[in-house]
Amino acid sequence: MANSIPEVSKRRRLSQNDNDNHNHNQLQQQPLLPGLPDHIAQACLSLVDPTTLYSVCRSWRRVIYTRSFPPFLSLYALLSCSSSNSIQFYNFDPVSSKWGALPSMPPDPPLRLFLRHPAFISRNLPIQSVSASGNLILLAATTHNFSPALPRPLNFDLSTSSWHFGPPLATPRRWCAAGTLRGAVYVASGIGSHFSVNVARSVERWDLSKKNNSTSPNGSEYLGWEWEWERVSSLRDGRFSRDAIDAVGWRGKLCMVNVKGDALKDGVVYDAEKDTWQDMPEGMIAGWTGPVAAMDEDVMYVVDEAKGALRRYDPGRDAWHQILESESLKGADQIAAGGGRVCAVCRGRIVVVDVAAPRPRVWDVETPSGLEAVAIHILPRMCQLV
Amino acid sequence: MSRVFKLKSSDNETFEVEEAAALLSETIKSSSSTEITVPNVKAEILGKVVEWCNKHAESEDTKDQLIKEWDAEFVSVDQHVLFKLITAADYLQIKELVDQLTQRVGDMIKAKTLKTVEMTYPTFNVEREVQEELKSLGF
Repeated sequence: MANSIPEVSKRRRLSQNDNDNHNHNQLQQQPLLPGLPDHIAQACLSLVDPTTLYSVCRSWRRVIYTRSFPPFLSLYALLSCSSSNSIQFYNFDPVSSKWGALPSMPPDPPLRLFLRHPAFISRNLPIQSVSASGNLILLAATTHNFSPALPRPLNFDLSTSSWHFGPPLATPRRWCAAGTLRGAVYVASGIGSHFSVNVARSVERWDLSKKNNSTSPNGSEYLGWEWEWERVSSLRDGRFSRDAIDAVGWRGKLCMVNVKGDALKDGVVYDAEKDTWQDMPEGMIAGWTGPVAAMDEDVMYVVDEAKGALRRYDPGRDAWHQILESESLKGADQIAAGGGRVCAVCRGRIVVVDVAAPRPRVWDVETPSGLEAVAIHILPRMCQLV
Repeated sequence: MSRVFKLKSSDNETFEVEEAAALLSETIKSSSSTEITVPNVKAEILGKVVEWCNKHAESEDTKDQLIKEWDAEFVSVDQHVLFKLITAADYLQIKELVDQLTQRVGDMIKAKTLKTVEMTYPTFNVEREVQEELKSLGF
């Protein structure tokens, strides 16, 4: 897997280290707000938005990345090199407008997953990732001989900036419906190395909050054994094994369809409290014509991949309400919603829509040169340890 | 008969404060004595803090519009006084006063940084060395 750090962030890291070492003592002594003890200054600065603080001075810029400052939301993207099979997670910091690579995934066991296979010229093999409880999780992918690449999920814990292995799946899948609901990751249906009705109907859940928070002092790898996958109610049949699907957590329910894009499809909704599966409301399926995500698991958005239209679901009317239409949203493959923004991966590009503004606006976020987007997630920014 | 607390400023002035007002301070609440010396806080500032406590002790409903207006006026002081007030309120652990003053400082930062797009110096009084360093960084 290619692990070269792009020029931009490497340069940034080097110069920051130099200056930080030189000025470290000086900065330590300089108060954030002369005349106030630092802990009070921190409290005052916490009330100001990070973009403003970023441009004032170095010490204020540092503050926004410390644990005591309310974390702002940041973009995390799975990027791939246009010509190869290597993938890596990157972070786009909206305050500094800079890309930075996340630490590389553990080299052992080696992750051999395939994005582009010679047998599939026009289609990429799916690589499925989800985000939950401040973790970025790589769940499912395919190897060169079409078997599941991930017997255990790989997850990146943002609070410690480190990779860990999740609990092993009873049946590793190479595509499935995957999603998050209330801090638990769900994996439904899909296929392992070959199709099996049992797997196609099975649904497993991994509750991240059930972990015992006792890491060793040097923060080394969790064993992950307190985490486990538990079976929940199965699907009625194996119809959901046709495509790699993003299941959407929304108001206590996990919603998913069985075919991506615009085609005719089936939809089901899992009620987490009752542990039951129901048919998806007709209006919801009818408008599920592209990737879907729910902001704060409360407001559901879809991007119609053919028309490039962003719509919001109105549960009262069981209908989708159009927000805007844009050329750049056509071909949307996956979306994430958070902090008043809906971010979409469209044919390798990243497009952002500000849905909180009175007049929603659309813009592109350029990926680092030579890299294209495979998936994106919105999560709190990482702390920069100085 | 409620107790009377005596707060002594760093320049040796004493303020008598009724129990209800005094107990707004967590520091006083957890003190074993009714005579408390407040280090590093001069009479001018301590007097204002006492004034705030008295006002808030006497009005039952803190969401009252009148008291909100009074509070807004109270925090509209110059930055120098504001910083001293917040340091004193922090020492005395008067949460609501600290919150109000913090909010005021936050608002002032926001207002000042919005006014200038390119800032040569940060808004609050900064030591000469810091100014030089920032200039060299292009701020």
